[in-house]
Formats: sequence, C-alpha cells, structure tokens
Amino acid sequence: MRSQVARSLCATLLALGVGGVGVANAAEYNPVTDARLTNPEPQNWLQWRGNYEGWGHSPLNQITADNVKDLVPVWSYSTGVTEGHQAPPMVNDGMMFVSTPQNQVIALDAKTGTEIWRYVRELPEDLFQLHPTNRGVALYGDKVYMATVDAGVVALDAKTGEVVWDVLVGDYTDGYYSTLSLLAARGKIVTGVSGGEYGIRGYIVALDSETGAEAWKTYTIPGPGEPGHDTWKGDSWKTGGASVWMQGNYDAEARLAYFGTGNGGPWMPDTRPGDNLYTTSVVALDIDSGEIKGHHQYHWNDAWDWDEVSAPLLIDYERGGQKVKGLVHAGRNGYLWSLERTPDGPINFVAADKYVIQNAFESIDPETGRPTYNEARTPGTNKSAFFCPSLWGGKDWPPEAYNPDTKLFYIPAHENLCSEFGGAPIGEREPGELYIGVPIDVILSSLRFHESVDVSKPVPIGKLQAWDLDKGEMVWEHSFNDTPYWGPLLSTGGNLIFTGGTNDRMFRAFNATNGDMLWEFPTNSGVTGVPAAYEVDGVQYIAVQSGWGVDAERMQGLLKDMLPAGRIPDVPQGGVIWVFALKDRAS
Amino acid sequence: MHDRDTPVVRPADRNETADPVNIVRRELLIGGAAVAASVAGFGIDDAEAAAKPDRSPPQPGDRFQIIKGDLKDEFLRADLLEVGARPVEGFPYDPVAGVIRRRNRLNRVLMLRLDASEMDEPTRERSADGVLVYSALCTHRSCTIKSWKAEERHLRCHCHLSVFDALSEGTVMSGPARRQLPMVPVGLDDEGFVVALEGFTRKPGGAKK
Repeated sequence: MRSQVARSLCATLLALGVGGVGVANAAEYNPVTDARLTNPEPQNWLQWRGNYEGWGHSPLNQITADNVKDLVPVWSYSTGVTEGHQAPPMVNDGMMFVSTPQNQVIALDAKTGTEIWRYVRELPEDLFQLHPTNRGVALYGDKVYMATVDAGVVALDAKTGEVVWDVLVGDYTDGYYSTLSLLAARGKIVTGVSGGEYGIRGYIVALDSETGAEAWKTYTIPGPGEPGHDTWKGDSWKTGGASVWMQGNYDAEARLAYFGTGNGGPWMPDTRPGDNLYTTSVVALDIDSGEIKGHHQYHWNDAWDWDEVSAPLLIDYERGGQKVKGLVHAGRNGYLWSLERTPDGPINFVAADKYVIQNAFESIDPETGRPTYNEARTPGTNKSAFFCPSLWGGKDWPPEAYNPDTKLFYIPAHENLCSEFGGAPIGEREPGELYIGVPIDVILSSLRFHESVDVSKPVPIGKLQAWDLDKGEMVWEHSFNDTPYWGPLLSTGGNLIFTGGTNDRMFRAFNATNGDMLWEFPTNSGVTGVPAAYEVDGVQYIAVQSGWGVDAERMQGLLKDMLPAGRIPDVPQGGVIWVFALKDRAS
Repeated sequence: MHDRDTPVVRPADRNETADPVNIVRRELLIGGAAVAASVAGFGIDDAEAAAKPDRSPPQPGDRFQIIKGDLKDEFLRADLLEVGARPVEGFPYDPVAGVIRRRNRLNRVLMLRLDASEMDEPTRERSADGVLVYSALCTHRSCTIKSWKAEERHLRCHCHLSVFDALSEGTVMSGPARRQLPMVPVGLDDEGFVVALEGFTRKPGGAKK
C-alpha cells in the first residue's frame, strides 16, 4: 500500500478579501453536515448532483416551462483557463465554489459573481494530462475539497481558500491521476483514481475529512486471496484497470456508497482472460470500512473500452407491480440497467433495455443480467471488429438526471456512432505511458457511423432521451444533428431539463414532460459543465460552466473527417461561468 | 565510452561547405559545456546537470538511446532509421556518466529520418543526415506523442489531437496546442552516432493554462 505523502503548500491564493455580500457569507459560513447532504435545502446545491442519490434535480420552481423563455444571463466570469470545464457550480447559502481544469477552485458571491478567493494548484512540470479537467469539489464541514490531476486531494478553508491539508493518494508518474468530484459522508472524503489506459490497478480511498489521513483503501481489482481474484489469470490483475473517475452515489440509511468502475486494461480481452472483477461494474462499499458488500458487473472481460464509471442513481421504481428500491444506470455499453439495492449490500439484476444501437451483445440472461457476446463484434489481439455503440458508448461520463415529479429518467446519449479496431501484441508496460494494446493511430481512425447513416443528410448523433422506468420504455427524445453531445443534465421542479454539450455552443432548456425545446442561449464555448440550480434572496438562478475540451473535442476532431466539409464548426476554448435568472427577477 | 570533447561533424561539415551557423554551433559546443548548458538547461546549471545526469535535460554531446521496438537499447545512428518511417522513442544519453537521462519525463524524444530536401531551412539546419530529434511531449498538456501521419510528415498527439509539422520545426498545424514542438539540434560524431549540438530549442512540456 502506498503511503500518503503530505505535500508542501504549493497553492497560490490569488485573491482574498472582497467587499459586500461575499465577505458576509464567508464570515458566516454555514458548515455542511451529513444531515444537510442527506436532506439538502432547495436553495442550495451542496454536491455535484445535488443529492446523495445522484438525481441532478432541484425542486426550485420559480423558473418554469412557461416562463423560461425570459431567462437571461445575470453575471458571467472567466476562469482564465482552457480545456474541459465539467464541474458544477456548488452553492452554500449564497457562496459559490467552482473547480476548473488545472485544478483551480474559485469562490464567488453567488448573487453578484464577485470573486472571494481563488486557489491555483501548482502542478508538476512533467505531468501528462490525458483528461485535463475536474468534475467538482466537495463541500463538507467548513472546508472545500478537490481531487487533483497529480493524484491528490486538497482541503481548503471554505472562508479563505487557505490550504488545510494536501495529500497524494497515487503516483502520477506511474499513470495514476484524479479528475472526479468527491463524495463526503460520515467524516470521510472519498476519492478514486483514473489511469485505465496506463496499466493501473484501480482503487477507492477514503480520507479523514479533518486531517487527510487515510481511513481505508479498497482496490477495485481483488488481490490474491480476496473474493473475485480468481476472475483473473496470472499477473493481469496488477495492471487490469477498473479505474474510478466519477463520484459515487450514497445510500445514507444503509451507509453504502455505490461506485462505478472503468474498463479492463489493456483493452484487448485476450490479454486478461476471465471475467475481470470488478471492471465495468458497480460496487457497493461500506462507507465506514470500505468493504465491498455487493456488486454487479454490467459486462465481463470488457473488449470495447466501455467504462461503466457513472454511478447508478438511487431511484425507487416499479416493475411487475412490485416497488423496487433501485439502482439505475445508462451504461456505456448501450443498455439501460435497472437493478435492485439491498440494505446489506448485494445487488440484484432486474432488467436491461437497449437505449441506443447495440450489436455486441447477443443476449442478456434474464435472471442474472449476464450478457453473451457476438464474437464477430468483439475485438481482440490481431482481430479487428466493428461494433456499436462506439468506444465512447451510448453514454459516457455526462450524468443522467431523474425528476421525481415526472418520474422520468433522462439520458444524454450518443446514437449512430460505432467503432472498428483491433489490438496488436502488447509490449512491456512502461510506468506513466499508455498501455492499451491497440495502436494509437488505429484508435484515432476507429470512429464509424452505423451503416444506416446517410452522411449527405444531417446525422442525428446526440440524443436527449426520457425514459419511464416503471415500463422500461422511452417516452420522448430530442436529436442533435452533426454534433457530439457531451451535455450533463439538470432537472428542476419547474418541469425543465437544462443541458448543453453541442458544438453550436448552446445552453438549452427542454420541457421535461414532452421534450419540447423552450429556450437556448449561445455561450462563449461548448457547454460540457454540469448545470446547477440555486436561490439567493428569493431569486432562482441556473448556473453552468461553458468550456469545450477533452473527449468532446476529441470526438469533434474525428467527426470532422467523417462529414462533408463545413458541417462541423470549430468550437473556441476558454472557460466561463454563466449564471441566468428570469428577466424580471434579475437586478 | 564517448568523450564529450570528441569533435562533432555535421553533414555540412563533411561536405566542407562553409556555414557560419554551423561553425558557431560547433564552437559553442567545443568551447565549453557551460555556455551550451545555459542554452540547453532551462535553469539547470552545469553542476546540477553533473550531479543528476539521469534527470538533467539533454546536453551538447549527448547521444540518444532508443527504448522500444526492434532497435531497443541501440544508440541512434542515421542508418538505423528508414526515411519517412514512424519515429522511434528514446531519451538523451550522457556519454560521460554513461547514463540515460530517463528519470525526467521532459527529456523524452522522438527520433525520425526524413528527406532533408523536404525540410524548411531552420529544420534542415537542426538535422543530421535527415535525422530529426523532437520532444515527445505535446506542448498542450504534456501527453506523449504516439501518432505519425506519414503522408503529411505530421506528428499527432492522441490526447487532444494537436498536430505538428515535422518538416518545419514542429509548427502547430491544428489542435489546441499553441507552441511549436521543441527540437534538439543534432549532428554526427566521428563514430556516426547522432549527438545533440544543443539542448531543446524551447522548453518541453505542456502549457500552464
């Protein structure tokens, strides 16, 4: 086990002390407790999806389907950096906290946009950044926490931005890094590591929220003697991936955290024969001990780079007349997974429904949910295969949302995209360098359209879908043509779904019940940030970061070569925080 | 063991053409490491370079050791590389200390051989028998460049698809990178090995913002 290393204070505090509401809020900072996270106030957005269940839903209803046409920007703020701005603005009683690429945290007055403080991490000179982003801070107690791309976690004083503690949980020179938002519960800050393309062995770490000391560390690939280790052969478990790069959701009553896990590594399945637990799975961990109490593997011996890192949403639904305390996940593998959680941890399969074109699975076992594979659609070493959905899957990291009023489950999906690649014999692993087993030039030319696509016409690629979980049926969908769609979702009590994610730089609102597009606004860049809703002094605000980059940019680059010239516009980079309110409420 | 004082001969020298630029470079190299190090080291002085040769940036007189593929462990010579073929990966090698400078990721280089007549003048001046040595780290976010577009002679980063022209000093052709890919100007020593004439032409690695 790698010991944590206390880091020297390498932060730079660029701004301190600003007048007005910001200082008042900072001085009277309202500590974030387990009770508040379990029952969040409507006016606040205290964690990355708003609640422990991962719904991405705000009950605020001042902005509605009827009046959203009057939504206008009230303030904006440049982050000063480029690349993928994916984090939600988090708000605690009028004070906003936003993380950005390059591991900045900016604290602002949520009403005026006045900066209160800014933390800028000094990153190592030799640090590679395959994914230069951060998906959000955690608010807990009187501190703000951020995972870092050099595989650390830093705790900041919420009022001042001063570094309280700063620890490493991995070695970036060995291919480990962190981009996820952090789960805070029971006195712990829970983080994970990326690196599934670098030959890592994934793990989840809980740190003491006050000191940064390690509370527990659980590998997502079992070691010798642990249950599931026999799903690996030889030493393949040591480099098998199962990274953890998205925040887990949490059942506060059962004290279980549900984390999704990444692809198997290297990519080609014959390099690691066996089911490869717990790659491409959901694992249920005891928040106090880190013990894995249950799991469900969405697909075994992954061959397609289909990370299943998005944690399932905790939603109660009905199937066959029975109420199910559920876990719901729109898989990168193209299936919508309906599972059942239990108080002791074991996870039961309920149903799996295709939500995009999927040709790699031949069947799903109705009892266990275990898929069988179409061998012709399964890549291997020296074996190229064409398969759908693409390696980015039916849905990548952008989170789904659930609206308890409409009882609909919303998915930001990619349709009509497929991949074609195969592996080459893999050499020795070099720490900190790619360990994929598929030549990079093959990957960069692997994106394909489904055979049904006619590129002479606009190609529907992005799909915003709404699903009835009780029936397992799609209720409505909206298509985005000729564009990647990397749009995290926000649901609100105003019967609205907010999302961006397209290459026309738009941020949009949809009627949550019927899918009608009601409002759109062109921002500075592409909106890949998680939107959030909050209220200050009786005014409801919608906030989001616009800043194109990372995989949205990658997909965009490949689509340019697949569609006639002029169909794919350039998307400028550079991050901006946007905050909107109704015209007659804005002042 | 290669001696740092071994005369370095560039192709132009062997053809006995009078090239003031080459003469200046050679004098710089032969004249002493301190002068060269101030160009090459980006803040690392000679003493530090000697103390930590495995971490120090490339120094004049360094050879280049190949770390992967069929040529693994070989020291770079022009005749090892096929013109136009995919670059090989490696690190500078300190012939004095007998150490590969591999403990600093910023030292990672791509080595390739192209037709010198296709290169622009500044690039050709930094080549030796068509051999070019570029930093392997993308100037956007420091990912290791792995992709080679042979027809265009372009180096491409898989991370965010920045593209650099190997024929024109690593000029950015497309993508989010804003800075040229650094080069290590090279010559040939009397044993035919490719050696550094200077350090990197600019700071290797990614941008801060």
